[in-house]
Amino acid sequence: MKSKKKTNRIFYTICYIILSLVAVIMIMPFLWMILSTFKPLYELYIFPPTFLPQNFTLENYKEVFTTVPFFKYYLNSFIVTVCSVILTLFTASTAGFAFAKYQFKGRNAIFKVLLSAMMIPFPVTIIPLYIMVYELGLVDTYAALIVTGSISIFGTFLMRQFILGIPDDLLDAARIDGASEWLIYRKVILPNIKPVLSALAILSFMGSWNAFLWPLLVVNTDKHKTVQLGVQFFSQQYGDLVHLQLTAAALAILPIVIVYLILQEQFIQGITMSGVKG
Amino acid sequence: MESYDKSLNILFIPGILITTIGLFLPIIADKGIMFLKDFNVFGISYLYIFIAIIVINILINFTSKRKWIMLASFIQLFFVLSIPFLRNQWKQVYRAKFFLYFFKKATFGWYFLAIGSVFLVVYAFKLFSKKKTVPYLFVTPTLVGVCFLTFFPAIFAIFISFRKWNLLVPVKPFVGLSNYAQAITDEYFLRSLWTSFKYALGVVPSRIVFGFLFAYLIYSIPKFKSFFRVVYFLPFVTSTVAVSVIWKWIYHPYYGLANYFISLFGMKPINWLGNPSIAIWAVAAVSVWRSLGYDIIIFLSGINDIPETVLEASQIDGATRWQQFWKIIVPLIKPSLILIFITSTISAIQVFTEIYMMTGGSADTKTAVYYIWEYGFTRLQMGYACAMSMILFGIILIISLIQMRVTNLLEEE
Repeated sequence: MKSKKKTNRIFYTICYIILSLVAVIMIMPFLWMILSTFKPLYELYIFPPTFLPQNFTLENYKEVFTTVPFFKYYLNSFIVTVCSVILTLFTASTAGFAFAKYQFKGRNAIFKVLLSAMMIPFPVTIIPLYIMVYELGLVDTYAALIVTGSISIFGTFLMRQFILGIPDDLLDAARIDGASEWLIYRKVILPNIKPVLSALAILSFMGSWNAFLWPLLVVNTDKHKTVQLGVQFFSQQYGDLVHLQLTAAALAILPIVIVYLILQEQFIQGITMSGVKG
Repeated sequence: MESYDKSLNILFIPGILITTIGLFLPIIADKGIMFLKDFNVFGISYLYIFIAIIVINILINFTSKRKWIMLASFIQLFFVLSIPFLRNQWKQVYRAKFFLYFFKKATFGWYFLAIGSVFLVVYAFKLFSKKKTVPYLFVTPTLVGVCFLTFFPAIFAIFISFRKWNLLVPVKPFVGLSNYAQAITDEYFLRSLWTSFKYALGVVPSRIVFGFLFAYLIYSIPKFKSFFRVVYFLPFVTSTVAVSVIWKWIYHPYYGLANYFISLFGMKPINWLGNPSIAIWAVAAVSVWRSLGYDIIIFLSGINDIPETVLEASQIDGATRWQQFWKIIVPLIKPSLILIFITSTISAIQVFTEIYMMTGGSADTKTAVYYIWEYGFTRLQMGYACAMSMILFGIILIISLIQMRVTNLLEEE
């Protein structure tokens, strides 16, 4: 028994050492980026690299905000993300509700058709989608940015799985009290699916805030650029000015990292839920 | 025939009246007025079509056949909505821009027709009992969205791939299969497919091995579980664009952290992103680093689903940690394994952002999606790009079908 305890202790020590070493690899790039944003350019171009900034400066941040309207980018990203998340939650929860709790003609067929759409990868639809947006005169508008993030088939599926677990008696009781179906959706279903709503909200928040390829195609002026495009601008146009690139990147991930650190449990729960697919 | 609520006539009568008035009002009024009679389909004037629909609608209403009423009102709505798309029949002055321009110029006539038709459609819906129509209404937003964002573009992509299609050139001639023929003989496209494939071959096994290994380590330790989970997951919440900027700097051939690190061990500096035999693997490493946290969480939830009693029983039977790992945890984790296997393959083959931000397709890192993007959006040869994307789609589909087959077979054993 004693030897078993001892092997356990050795095993745990090895685990902790490996996990800590790799944890450093996970954190180090971010730490280095943050520290680099406080260094002037000439301090970045030295070898061996310095860890802590020797000549502490805030000029980089000032320069990023004066070169491009970064506040405007924040606002755009914010608008697009909030609209996408709300639309996704609404469309996914109503459809999920219908698939889970109603018997109607063609239900299974429609559901299968929806799931089959998940097989079609984005690179296939992106060119026709762009042509559609172009022909409709929607290039460089919020609408074009928001609409692609407003539907989630996976979210619908998630909602359906979750709503299936709500007992039918609850709905019938509400119906006997004379509630309309819409009222049942609002007063019975929505309060009962809060965990899955927050999970989907987080997934769709991450998706919209970090979206890159689609905004890159449909936006071409400062008016509707998102923060990710701001980062891309610095790395395409100012190839050598690493201090600005890193500062822009730090600014782009700052909001989502703050949200993540506050809601870490919900993030991890959301991903866990997304895994219960098979 | 059962009779319906007479009070619903409050929808039907105004619907018919408004539509009828709309027939004789101008549809577009700016420079040069257009009436309904100016539009036609197969040579039949829209005016006659609408009169016919209205008469039929009134006649059906006497028979009280709900389905037919529904159909007639939808047909009417369809014709109303088709007017903005009849670009060839608009007067020359309106043709400058598609669709949105129509709404700027449309006037009473069109709006009357539209409102009247909506009244009729709502009327038709109300005829059905509420419980029957509600689920369809709930499904509609998602279904319409998926049709417009996925199904229609996918079919449109096939259509485009048979044509020589440039966004800025109005003539889009039909060229048959020649785009496909060009694609399968295009050496650079085949090479880009191979690059994507190589990338996936690097990323998928590493993601599975590392994800599983670290999930197991985090599972085994008694304390700080959630701390490590939070730390490992951090890269996954940040954007690929920002992460690529950071790693591009870490990989810098002269001043990067990576070369500094290996110089501590006395190794010569490496041109990580510039050397064609290394660059793709350097990018793949970043991708594995970024998704490690995601994989860990999926595997952890799989391990946590293993019933406590099974593990305890094995411990009582004297199984070592090693045996427990291989004989119990690995076989029982299969659902998570399959999920990561299939999703990571699909996403790895479609890699774009990392390549775009880190190497810009240089140093032998041009992947298939990057090549398609280049043709579609910088050279504007969208027909050819669509043909290539259809080929890529076919390959992804075949790979996922094989994967599903293989994993199913494993499960049956």
